[in-house]
This record gives sequence, structure tokens and C-alpha cells, in this order.
Amino acid sequence: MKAGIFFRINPVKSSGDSARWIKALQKLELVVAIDTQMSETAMYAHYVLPESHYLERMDVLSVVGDTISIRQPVIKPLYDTKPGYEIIQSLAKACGVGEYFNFTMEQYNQAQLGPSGWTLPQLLAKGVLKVATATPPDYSKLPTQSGKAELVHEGYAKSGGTRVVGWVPPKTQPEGDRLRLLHGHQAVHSNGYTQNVPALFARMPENVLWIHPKTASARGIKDGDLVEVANEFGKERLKAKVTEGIRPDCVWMCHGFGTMVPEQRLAFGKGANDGALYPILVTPVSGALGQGDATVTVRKAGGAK
Amino acid sequence: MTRYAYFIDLSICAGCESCTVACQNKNGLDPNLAYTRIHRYEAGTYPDMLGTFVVNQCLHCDDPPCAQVCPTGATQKTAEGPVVVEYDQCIGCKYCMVACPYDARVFDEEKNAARKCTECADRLAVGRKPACVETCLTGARIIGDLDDPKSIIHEAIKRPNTIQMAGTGFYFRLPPQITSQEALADGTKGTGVVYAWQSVLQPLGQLFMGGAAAALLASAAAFAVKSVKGGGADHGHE
Repeated sequence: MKAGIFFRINPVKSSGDSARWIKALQKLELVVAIDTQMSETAMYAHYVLPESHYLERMDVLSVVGDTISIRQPVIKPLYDTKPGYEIIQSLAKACGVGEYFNFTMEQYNQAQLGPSGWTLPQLLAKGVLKVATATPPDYSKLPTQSGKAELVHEGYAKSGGTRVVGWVPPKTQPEGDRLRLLHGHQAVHSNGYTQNVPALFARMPENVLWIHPKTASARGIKDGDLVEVANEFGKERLKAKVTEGIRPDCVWMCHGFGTMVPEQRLAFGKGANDGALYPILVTPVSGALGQGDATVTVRKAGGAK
Repeated sequence: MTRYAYFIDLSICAGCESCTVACQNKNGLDPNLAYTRIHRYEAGTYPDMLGTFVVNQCLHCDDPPCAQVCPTGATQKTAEGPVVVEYDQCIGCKYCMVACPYDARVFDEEKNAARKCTECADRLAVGRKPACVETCLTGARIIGDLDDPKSIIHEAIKRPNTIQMAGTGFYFRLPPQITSQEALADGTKGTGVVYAWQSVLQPLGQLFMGGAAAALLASAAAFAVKSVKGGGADHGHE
């Protein structure tokens, strides 16, 4: 592998073992990042192709059952950016395969709309349209053979697992002074993308480490103390929140913080990046990113960050 | 006649703070000034523990202390309910900030004014909803006219575990696990919400204590306290 193009994805922060990702990107001959903001991954790219923000671009229409909706530009691009599809189109042209991408987003969406009987101007005017001849989504049952969540399925066996979904014990256990590191989301921010938005930064500028009172007092940690969370993958600092809302053998932090990008002037260096403390783990069968299989030590950190 | 009442269903608040941001945008506030604020509130001990959100903002008192102390009459209670401020008349003396039991005023240094939520009275006047109601992700915020029999507010304030804040047209539906005012006081750390809950629960408590004199009233009070508690687990905060 010699090159990587990353389109609106930031594995350095969101796919575990940030340090290993950085080393991997540094080995590539060509790294291109297409994104709406300077991300940790874009920081290690040879070329950053700035994409228009979602309020500045038209996206592919979306269909749910009998309902069609579209995301359309409400303002002109504020900066020298392009919609993602135009960037891809230009790259295709440069690679000599431009003829396969020889259409505008308007034409693409109009072609998609064709069978529905609606036109793009109608969709743009209404934002959301119903298709009378289509079937509304039925949320009362899942689109499986049984209509239920299936814990037994041939597909699992075909994908390298067993027919019955089974328990796979984690590779790590919270033992000795080690605590299991858990992470999640809080509704104020969206993943790692909104920490630098001024209005949301004001609401939640950093994440904190939830730690049980007994676990905290055994380490001399008080609410609000700066702590260091460390393991074989990395070392991060953030403030402790001593709370009954966590198991004594676990600690928890909100994902998306610990921004490493100086260009994100507000969010830079605020809070901790959970991604730096997890292994890169691909789960069997589903191939999804496995997170949560890491333990950490936590100690009170001296001095300012 | 129009009499606005405001209802917040804390049992479905997701804590996203979209209300805070929508309000700031609508009112041209600095991101560090907020008319409506969401606090995370926790009670109990692991694993018998509750975490939820409480809202802290102007409750548009029936007889607002902020209007009583205002030396220039800049703050006024409107007939429809919202407590509004004429900023031209505000001299920035901050008496209202001291008087407000809910810590609902924010001081805008740039404007030299003690600003506050107006329940988006300007929007209500033209048939629109306040910014916080319009944006609420889960539909937890509802405003309506008590004098309009068709208003959705009537259904909202009848929802189980709903309390009316004493002396206001504000209603909160509490999460089912909330058991006591001490628990709320822990979670809100001295914000106006503590006063709010005291003003609701203490009169009920006093009524209950004097119940021997009026058995009927006592049973009514007991029922009210029980309905506030909502049958959740007792976390030892009584």
C-alpha cells in the first residue's frame, strides 16, 4: 500500500491507537484528506482538499420508505472549498476516468428522482416529498426473515463465526491498579467534529474522566483534579469527575476531545483523546471497529497541562 | 385572554443543550451568556444511581421579584405571562439579579444590561413558538395558552409526575426516579432550581404536618407528595 485517500473520516482520532495510525500515515508515499475541517488525519496528509460545509453544498438525496428528502445549500461557500463530489470528479478527471463522473449533483439527483414522478425543483422547494405509490417504512418489525433481531443466523456462520452469536471474552481485564477504559458520547457534540464550534465549545469545552469515589480516593484524586490516564498505547490528561455514576473498576470519558490540531484554535489540547488509549481492533464477523478492550492506570497529574 | 404556561418534560430531556444554543442565536447572545441552562444532576450511590438533567431559566413568576425591585420599571410582567425587559431603561444596577430566586438573569457587559429570557414574547405575538421549543430535539419543551381549550398544554401538564412551580406558570415533569428535594439540591449546587423545588415541596410538607387538623387536606397533600415522588426507588435522601 502506497497511498491513502481519507474522505470525511479521521481514523487517527476515531479508530484506536492514534500513535500507530500516525506512524502508518507517515510511511505512505501519498496521503490525501478531504474534509470540512483540519482533522488529526488531515494534519498528516500531503494534500488537504477542503470540502464545503453541509450548509454550503448539495448532497445525494435520501430515501426512507416512501419519503424522499434532500440536503441543499442554504448559503454560498464562505471559503475556497468544493462539495465532496466535485473533488472526487476532479480527481477522476486527473486520473483519466473523468467520463464516468461526467454529471452534476443536480443531474444525479434528478436521475434518482425519475421513477418517483417528482422533479428536482419540486424537491428543492419542499425539502421532503412523499411518493404515493411507494410503501411507507414499517418500524414495527425489522427487515429480517423473522422480523426480529436475530441472534441465530446462517450469515454469521458464512462470515466466519458461528450460527449463534456467542460471547467472546475481552482480551483485557481490570486487575491490580488497572481500570477498564470505557467511552461514549454526550448529546452536546457530534463525534469528533464539533469541539471547535464556538457555541458548542462554550457548552462543553472538554471531556472529563468519570471515576468512582472509592477508586478516586484510593489514588488521592479529588473532583476536578487533573489526572493522567495511561497504558501501553498512550498517555492522556484530563480533569477527573468523581461520580457514583460509574463502576468502581471502570473509568469513562466522552469521545471526540483531546484535539491535536492547532488550527482548531478553541478545541486544541482540550480534554483527552480516548482513541489514543485503545488498540486497533477489528471485531470478528461484523468487521466493525472494536472499542472498549483496554485497561488503563489513572494517577493524579502534577502541574498544568 | 391569553395566559401562557410552559412545560418541560425532564424525563425525556437528552441534555443536548440545543435550547441554550438556539436561544443564544435568537437573542444575539455571546456563547458564554445563556438564558436557559442545562445541569446534569446525579443522586444515589452506585449501582442504585440516577443521572438526569434539570433546566435552569426564568420561570416568568406571577409576581416577579425582579420587576418589584427594578428602580426604573425596565422589567415588566405582561398580561399574557412573559416577564420582559425594556433594555433602553435598564441602568445595569443588577438589583434584579440579586432578587431573582432562580439565578435566571445574565449580565451583558457590552450592553450594560441584566438580560433574561422573554419566553420569546415577540415570536408568541406572531403565533410562533419560542426558539427553545422549536428546536427541542425530543419535544420536551411545550408552551401553550391555558385559556385556549384546544392548546396542547392541557394534555402536557396532566402527564404523570408533573409539578407546577409555585407562583409561576411553569411546569416540570420530573424523571420517575426523582425522590426528594435534597437530591435535587445536591444536583443543582445552589442554583435557583433549589429554591424552586423548595418553594414547591415545602408548602406541601407543611400542609402534611398540619394534617391532623384537616384529614382531607392531609390526604390530598400526601397524594401530591406521592405523585411528585412517582414511586421511584428511595436513594436515602429523605
